[in-house]
Amino acid sequence: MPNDKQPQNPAEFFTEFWTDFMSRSGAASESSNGSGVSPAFSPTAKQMQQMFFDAMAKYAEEFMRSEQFLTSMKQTMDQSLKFKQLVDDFLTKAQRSMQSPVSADIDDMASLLRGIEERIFERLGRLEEKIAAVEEQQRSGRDAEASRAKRPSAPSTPNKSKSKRKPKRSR
Amino acid sequence: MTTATQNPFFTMFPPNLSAFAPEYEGFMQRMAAMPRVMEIAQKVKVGATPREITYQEDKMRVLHYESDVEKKYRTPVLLCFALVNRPYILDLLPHKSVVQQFLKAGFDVFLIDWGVPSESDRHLTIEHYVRSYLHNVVKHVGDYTGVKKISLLGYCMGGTLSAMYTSIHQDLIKNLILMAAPIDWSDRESLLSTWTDPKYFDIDQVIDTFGNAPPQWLQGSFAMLKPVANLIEKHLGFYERMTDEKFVEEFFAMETWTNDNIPVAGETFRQFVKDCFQKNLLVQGKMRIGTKTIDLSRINCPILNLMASKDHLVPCGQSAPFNDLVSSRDRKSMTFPAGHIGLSVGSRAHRELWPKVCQWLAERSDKD
Repeated sequence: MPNDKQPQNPAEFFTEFWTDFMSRSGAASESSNGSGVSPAFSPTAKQMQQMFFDAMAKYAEEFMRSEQFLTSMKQTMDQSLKFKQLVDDFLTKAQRSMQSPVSADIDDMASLLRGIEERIFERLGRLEEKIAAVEEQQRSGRDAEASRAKRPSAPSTPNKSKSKRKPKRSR
Repeated sequence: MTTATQNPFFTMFPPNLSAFAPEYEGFMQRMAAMPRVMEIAQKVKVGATPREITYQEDKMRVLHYESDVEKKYRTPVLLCFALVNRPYILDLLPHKSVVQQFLKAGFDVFLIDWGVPSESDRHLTIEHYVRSYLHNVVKHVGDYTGVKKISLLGYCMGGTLSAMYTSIHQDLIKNLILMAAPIDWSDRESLLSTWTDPKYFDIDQVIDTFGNAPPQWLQGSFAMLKPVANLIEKHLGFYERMTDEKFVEEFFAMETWTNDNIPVAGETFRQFVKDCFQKNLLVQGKMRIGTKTIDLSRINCPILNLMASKDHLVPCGQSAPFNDLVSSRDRKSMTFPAGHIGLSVGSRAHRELWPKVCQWLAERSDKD
């Protein structure tokens, strides 16, 4: 047996809910502010509004994490990407048939230039390293020479090796 | 004849319609304010701090800010923003400017403007940005100011790039400040992490089709992270406060920035999504840029990690682990009750957080 209180038209549920909601918020604002604050911006209405939005935000986030949403997101994206690829292919073919350069050609050229640039930089980098190593060697050589020059001259005792070599050379 | 009581629309209103009189009055006030609102919308000027371009390479520019305040520190600060969106968020309005905060504290401030990548830039990788552009900028700032080591502040993705750079060139960085920078993507709190799950998101297909990551697509994705706040509450809030000129100015400044999206170089975006979001290689010490493997433990300079507790884009869980991955002894975290953008433009952040950040940096910078 159907409930006598239930409205016959299902849309009336909706109207009833909003009528009730508006009456309550209107009455609440009337009672809460005698100072002429607009009912829509009264603290009570604001609070209700915020609660409503918070609930909406919470459910929206839960929905956007759900398997259903993620699956539909993937399907939509796959379809739209396929469509774009089809359009791009069509435009490319049309432009090629008119002997016009297409973005893929420019892209290839840019990629080629980047490749060349990278190889040059790589070689320059290697050259820099080599030069740095040579400079370091030179510097250390100069330092060693300088330290030898600065070192106080050896005591008057004759160098044994030198004294030995001389007679050898003379031979 | 239809009366008010017979009209179904009027039955929704409380019997005493006079309760809506103030609302009607407010509505009329807002309508009266409309011309002024339009005027402010047209006049709002973002990124207005005077500056000069001191370095330019391809589309990237380095902005050096001018200041009336006497310089107190020799160590300059280089601000590195993300590749998504424009960097002027760090200098949005004079009273909401991170740049101004540092200038007023006596620092020499530089900002990297990465520029807008075109189709021909789709091949730029993270290696190009970190090892080439960022490295050249750091060297330039050092040469320009006559110092060997500089302070680097990275915001959002710019923070991730800055951390990568510092791990390679620690010898050139004196202090590192990360600001809402994602480092560890094992934290799945952010919706972005869910959406970029390889099960549902084929990054190769997106980049192969579009070339670069399209700005409208990025903007839409960011807006959908908080649909109620971005699509309803924001506009409602604007309607409620549209007679407040200061609020309107700030609102339009923010809107200018939010709608000023730029594409992200395709290969950079592909690598960032794959290696960071999907594989989380950075914290594992397995992320490679070119021939270099990024090892965050090589970082040993003073670290300040700024996080926003209400950040829906980069939750604290993605930033906090950074301090445990570096070998610096001097490391500090500051968590502030703000959102991702609120960290740089929030009034409270400018009142309470940034003076502390400047103080932290001042204690670790060479005096002029």
